[in-house]
Amino acid sequence: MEIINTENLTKSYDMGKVQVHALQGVDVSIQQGEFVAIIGPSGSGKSTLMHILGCLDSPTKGSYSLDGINVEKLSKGKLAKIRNTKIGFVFQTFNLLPHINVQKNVELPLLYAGMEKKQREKRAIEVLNSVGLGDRLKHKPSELSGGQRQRVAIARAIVNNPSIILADEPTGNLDSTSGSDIMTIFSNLHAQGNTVIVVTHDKNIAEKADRVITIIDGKIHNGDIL
Amino acid sequence: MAISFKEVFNQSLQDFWSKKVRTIVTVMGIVLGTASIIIVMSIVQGSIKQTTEWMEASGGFKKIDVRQNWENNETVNRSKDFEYDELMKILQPIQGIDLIDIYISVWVSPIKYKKNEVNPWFTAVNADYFKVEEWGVQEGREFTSFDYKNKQKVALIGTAARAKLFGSIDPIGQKIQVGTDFFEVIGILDYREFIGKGDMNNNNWIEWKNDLILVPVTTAIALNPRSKKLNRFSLITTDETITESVKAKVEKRINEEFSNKKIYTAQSNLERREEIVKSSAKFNIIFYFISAISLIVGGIVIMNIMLATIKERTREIGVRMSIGGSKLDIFLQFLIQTVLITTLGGVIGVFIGIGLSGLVADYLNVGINISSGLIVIALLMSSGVGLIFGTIPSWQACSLDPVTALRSE
Repeated sequence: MEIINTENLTKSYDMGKVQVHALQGVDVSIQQGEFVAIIGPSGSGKSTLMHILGCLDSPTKGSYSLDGINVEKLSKGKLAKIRNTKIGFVFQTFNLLPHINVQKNVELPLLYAGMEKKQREKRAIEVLNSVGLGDRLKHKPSELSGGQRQRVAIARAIVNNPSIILADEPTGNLDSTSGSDIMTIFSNLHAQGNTVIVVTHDKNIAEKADRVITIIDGKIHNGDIL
Repeated sequence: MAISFKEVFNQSLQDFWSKKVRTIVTVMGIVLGTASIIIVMSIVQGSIKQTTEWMEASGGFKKIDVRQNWENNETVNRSKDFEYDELMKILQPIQGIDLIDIYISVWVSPIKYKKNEVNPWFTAVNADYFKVEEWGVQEGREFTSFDYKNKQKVALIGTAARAKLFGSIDPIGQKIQVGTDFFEVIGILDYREFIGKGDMNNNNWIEWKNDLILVPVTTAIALNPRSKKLNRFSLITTDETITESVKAKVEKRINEEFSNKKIYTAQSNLERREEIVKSSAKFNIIFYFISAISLIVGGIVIMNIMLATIKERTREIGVRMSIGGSKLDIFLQFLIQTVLITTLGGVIGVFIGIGLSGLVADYLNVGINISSGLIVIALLMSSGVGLIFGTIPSWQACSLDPVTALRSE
């Protein structure tokens, strides 16, 4: 089943007098359960693509269907709902809220989904156990190592059972050991049937994926440049 | 809304807890503003309450005082003075009068007992006087209808006058000399006292009444024709609600005897209180204005700090948006947080205000009254400031673009 389908996805920014074309007609199709890496040099438009795929941004032109829903014309409120229920983000800089503990961080998406407190706590603990942090529930993010923080971020991303997990340079701020731990978690999530999309500029990371989509100058590059 | 009020509340409390110093600094303006409202309004309400109590102690709101109008020059050349019997006849047909309180000060000083002399308020009164004043005797007996009817030379004596004239001697049965006449003391009046709340000197506002020596009005008229002249009297109406209409009727009827010149004026306690409340209203407006300004200043401080907070938390807002926080969620998060912080400031301000108003009352020697309504108003105002001044920062927060917010440092 096709979970992501974009046609002629275009994104332009008005930078005063100059128009920047970040995406110039991108067609992407991703099947449910796939593990895909989106790779490209910096400035290639891969971040823009990720933001659009993650419903944080809307395309200037073209269509995007996520899990059967055409999202390119949805209102901001609807997009927030889609992000909440269908997308799990993992960021390079973890982006945990520093002043609340690990468990509360993981509960946050459930909170926005309107889940009851008890259920929320149960689900958060369950997910944190699955990433091996069941003994760190009440710790603040600052009390954890980089690898542990990224595992909290992954727990937060998957707590709502999203349709896709979107990771933006998830190992970029980690040492190689922690980095490969994190990639193992992604592989496991993929093995459990999750759709995982990793955006990276690192070829070694991309190699772990089933399929690599290369972006150069805002276009999909079909040739083999690896 | 996907996120419940309770969750925002808890989130905000966590935020305050992790930023204690900032929270304290933020609420200072609101604390001071609320405290000043409490202080000022407690004094204003206190003075109104004290006025009311004083009015109740001096006859209540059924009371009408009628006196000659010395603001009118025609009063000097008035055609006549009222006499007791005539007045009773005039007032009789007017509906709604319960009591007619006659008291005529007669200057006959000094009053003597053996070698002791006093210059008291020698006052001729009728039976209703005691009902209006709610006054009786602590020893001996009161005037009887026999005394009034037969113009008996009997007197009731106030505690202060008694002490001056008789010292430790039992005055009952003794004769005091009034001019050339001798009056028998038949009773000692109750001690009269009214101490205003917050009057730190414990002044008895009606101490002078204890210096009175009272005689029946009929006796006084019989002995001294000048006592007939009634230049003032008081009325008690049957009901507070008709006091004003009775007042108008009495004033009109009495002045009819003087070709409708305004020789007599009537004033009710109700009217006096209205005047006092009205004259303090001007000051109230100034007080409200000053309090409002301090609250607005507090609100601007809060808005400023919230704007800074939102700038600082842009990344967090981006993260919240990326995991599903809607525009409304983000807006409410910051708005409720602002309202919470100002309400918290309001609560602290109420406590400080209550404490300080006690001190101010001591210093200014005035009574205060802190009603629950005043506290509710103060809290509502502090919450309102949060609601008003929190809107712009919260709107700014929820209008951020998720991508830009996520990229911010």
